[in-house]
Order: sequence, then structure tokens, then C-alpha cells
Amino acid sequence: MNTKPRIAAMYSRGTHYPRLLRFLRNEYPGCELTAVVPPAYPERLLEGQCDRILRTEREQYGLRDLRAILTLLSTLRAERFDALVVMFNSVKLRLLASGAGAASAYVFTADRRFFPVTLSLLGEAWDYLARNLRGRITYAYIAWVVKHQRVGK
Amino acid sequence: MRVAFVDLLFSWPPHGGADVDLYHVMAGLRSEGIEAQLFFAHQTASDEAGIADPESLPFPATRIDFSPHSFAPDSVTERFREALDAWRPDMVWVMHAFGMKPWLLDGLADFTVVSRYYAHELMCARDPRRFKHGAPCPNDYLRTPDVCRDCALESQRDAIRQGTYKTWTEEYIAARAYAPEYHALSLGALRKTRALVVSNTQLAAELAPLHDDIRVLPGGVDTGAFPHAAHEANPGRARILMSGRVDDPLKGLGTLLEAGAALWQQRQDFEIVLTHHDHDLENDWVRCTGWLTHEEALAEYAKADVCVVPSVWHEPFGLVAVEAMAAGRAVVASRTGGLADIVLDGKTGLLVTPGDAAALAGALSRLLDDPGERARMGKAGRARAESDYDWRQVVRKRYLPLLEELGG
Repeated sequence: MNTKPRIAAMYSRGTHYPRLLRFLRNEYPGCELTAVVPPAYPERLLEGQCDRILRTEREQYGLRDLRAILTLLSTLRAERFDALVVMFNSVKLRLLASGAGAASAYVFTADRRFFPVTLSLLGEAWDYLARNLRGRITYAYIAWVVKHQRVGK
Repeated sequence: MRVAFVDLLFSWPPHGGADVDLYHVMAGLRSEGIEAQLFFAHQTASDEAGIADPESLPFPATRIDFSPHSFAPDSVTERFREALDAWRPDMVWVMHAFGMKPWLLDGLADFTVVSRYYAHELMCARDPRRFKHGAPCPNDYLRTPDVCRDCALESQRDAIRQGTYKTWTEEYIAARAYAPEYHALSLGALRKTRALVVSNTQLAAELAPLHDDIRVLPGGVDTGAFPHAAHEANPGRARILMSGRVDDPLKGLGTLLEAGAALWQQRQDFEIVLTHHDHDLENDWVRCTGWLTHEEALAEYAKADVCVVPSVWHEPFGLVAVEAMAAGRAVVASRTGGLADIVLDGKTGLLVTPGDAAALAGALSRLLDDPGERARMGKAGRARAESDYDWRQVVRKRYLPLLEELGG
């Protein structure tokens, strides 16, 4: 039975993925580190940086790729990671981290901040809805200004 | 002389060409004895901009933190003003910023202020690219503000509604760049600025009616980093390299593939090498390298016979063309923006009309036919890169005289 803590580092398009892997390796030297990367991510860039590589089905995921997202979540849940680390503090990635079934989830940002994702799936969903509502109000106001207050007048 | 550089977007490691440019300019000026200090903004809620540790930079830097609520015109101007007043610079260069820039220029106007533009952010309200429907946009926010305000609103609609926007939209909202009075602010701020700095002569000419002191300052490369060797033709098929952010639609991969297909009908003595990760693009004459480390990317230049930069937008600078020249390779590039300044047509490479696949195929064919001409152009390109685009030369020949002139 594997008793090492199992940590997964989820790749997103960003330049600090190697830094994330190095950080996890240094901070948690006894862990089993899994790099979750897209199909085309070169294996040689991961050599010596992780213990396992888990390839996602797609290079990128959009909101419309629901089936692929569910497959990804199901794959991650089946792994039962102790911790899942994402690269950006975005709602989508926090939702993914919350839904991946890991015992805990963290964000590691480009400026080396490392902090837990504390919200529940429900909390993330609420945050997402609240952000949308605020966004729609902001947009409605800006649209009114642009349409009714012309520079040329 | 004390020169302050103010930047709202600086990150290190770099997030883009503007960060690399500022880093080298700052480091270069310091090594020439100029007292230069960077003042940059960090938005505490952002993962995109202002991500740098001042202690890790080879020049003095002051980070000014902003929360989402304090990132507003008054407080941004006030905080930078306080920091600059304490340091007392002789001159302030306002570098990379988007919608917030006119507020900064206006608020710092009692300094000698120089405003640096890295792309088309001064003339486009929707993004710094000024590119729409597959072509450079003919509109200009300063001249056709209402058309551009409508366009900016439409293009940012989903991002604003979903609340998932990035730095451009963040500054657009925070700076109230959508408001009608922002247009007058932008024009007024320009008038208060001592000089405008852009990266190419095409943009300078376009802005000339708006300001009487517009300077062109190119970027640069460290020519010493390029494994320069005299060009020797590949024994097998000739290699045509397109490097950089090949997957960006503005870079003209579509034109190159169209040109390549036409060329392949006539001859099968070449391959096109793309620094692209999508291996689905590969065929008999296209090969993708996948993601490369910096060193691997440099090595690709050395293996190339010809480098191609088929951009379809007004490329502000065109770093990959300079890199290819530094590696001693002939360059075929679009006659647009900075590329038209960098590549000397017929001497260091060939210039073609952007988006014209037939012209591109013709230029490539000409160079494939004549290894001697490729070698001559490569040699001339290397000499030009060393004399005009090596960072040390850019700082000494371009920045220092300008600082002296403006500061005096």
C-alpha cells in the first residue's frame, strides 16, 4: 500500500508550471508527485520533476466541452489525490479543484503564493453566480453610457 | 541623471515583450551609470500583472500594491505621485499600461514625462492589437472615438458580463475608458507629455499629427546568446523556420501554409519548421517542433536556411526577425510595422505584402534557389543585429542621447 501523500499538479497555460513542480518537490520531498498535463506537453520537460504523468484528454477545455470536463473530473476523482494544486486563482480552476475529489486543493500563483482553496463546490458555484450578476450589472451600466453619451455630441 | 520608469503591468519572469524590453533598458541604463529606478503596480487580486519580486531584479524597483478597490484613477495617480516625489526623478517614463495610462500621464504632468507605447494601445479601445475581421483596423480611437467605443463594448461584452476579464478590461473598467470624457482626457494627456516613444516608423508617422515629438526606439536582443555560424545550406531539404508565437493568428501562419502549399506544387526541396505544438499541422513539408526551451529555440535558428515572419497585423517591433538576423539567417518578412524597419529589403532579407501568399512563395523560392544570396543576407543581417539591435548598442546609441536631449 502506498503511504506517501499523493499530490497532483494541474497544468494550465502559464509559464510557472516548472516552478510549481520544483516548489512541490522541495516542500514535500516525500510525496508522490503527479503532473497532470495536456497530451502535447513534452515529456522531456517533466523529466526528474515528477513521479508520474497523467495526460488529460484535451489540450484545452472550454465551458462547452461538458463531456470532456466530466471525464477529466471523473479521472481525477478516481485517483483520490491527497492534494490537487492549480496554477491560477480563477473561478474555473477553483471549481475544478473543488470538484476533483482531492482531500484538499491549493493554488500556486506566478508570484509564488501558495494557498488553499477553502470554498466548497457549492461556495465556488455561488461565487461564480455572484460574479456573473455583478458583471451583468457592470456591463449594463457601461453599455448605457456608451450608447447614450457620445463623444461627438 | 535620475530616471523613473513607471509600469502598471511589469512582471518578471516576463509575461510579454514589453517586460523583456523594460528589463533590458533598465539594466542597460544602470550599467551606463544612469540612476534608473522602476516603480511598478501590483494588483493583489491579479495573477497576470505586476508579478515580480523587487529583490530579485538587477535594478532598484519599488512595488506599489493595489487592491481591486484601490485600483482607481485617483489612488493610482496619487500613490505613484507620492513615490516619485520622494525619489525626485529628473524625468519619468510611463511605460506599459492600458486604460489607466492617460490618468497617469495627466497626474504626473509636472514632471518631464515620456510615454512609451509597445503596441496600438493608444489608438485602439478594444485591445492593444488594433486588428479586426482578419486585418489591421482602419479606425483609431483618437480620431473616431464613438466607433471605437462601440467596438470595445461589443468585444468585451462576454468578459464583463461573466466577470472573467483580464488586465485590458480591468483597466478599461477601472479607468472609465468607456466614458465620453475619457477621450478628451486622452488627448489632453498627450499634449502634456514631453515625448512619445513607439517601436516603429509606421506608427510614428500615424501619430505625427497628434504630437510634435515622437521618437522611435527599437527593442533588442543579446546577440552574444545566438550561436552564430556562417550559413551553410542544409544537405537535404532546405529549412524554412517560422518561430515565436506561431499559434497567434496575427502572426500569419495561414499565409505561410498557403504559400508553402503553392511552393510544394513546384518543388519538393524544402520543409517548413514551426515552433508550434499542434502536430496535426504536419504533412510532407511541415514539421512542428513542439514546445521548446529557450536554448532549443536558439538552436533552431542555427539549423534554419531561411527564417520567415509573415505577420498580418502591424507588428509593433518584430523580435523574431531580429533574432533570425542575430543568428545570421536571411529573413522573409511582411512589409509592415517594425518588420519594415528591421529587415532591409534585398540586403538582410526580403519584404512582402502582408497576407499575400503568392508574394511570400515567390520570395521563399528566390532564396531557396540561391544559397549564395541567403548567405550574403545572413551575414549582413548579423552585422546589422550587432550594430543596431544588440541591447548594449540600443541603450548607448538610442536611449542615452535621447535622455540627454530631453533631460537637458
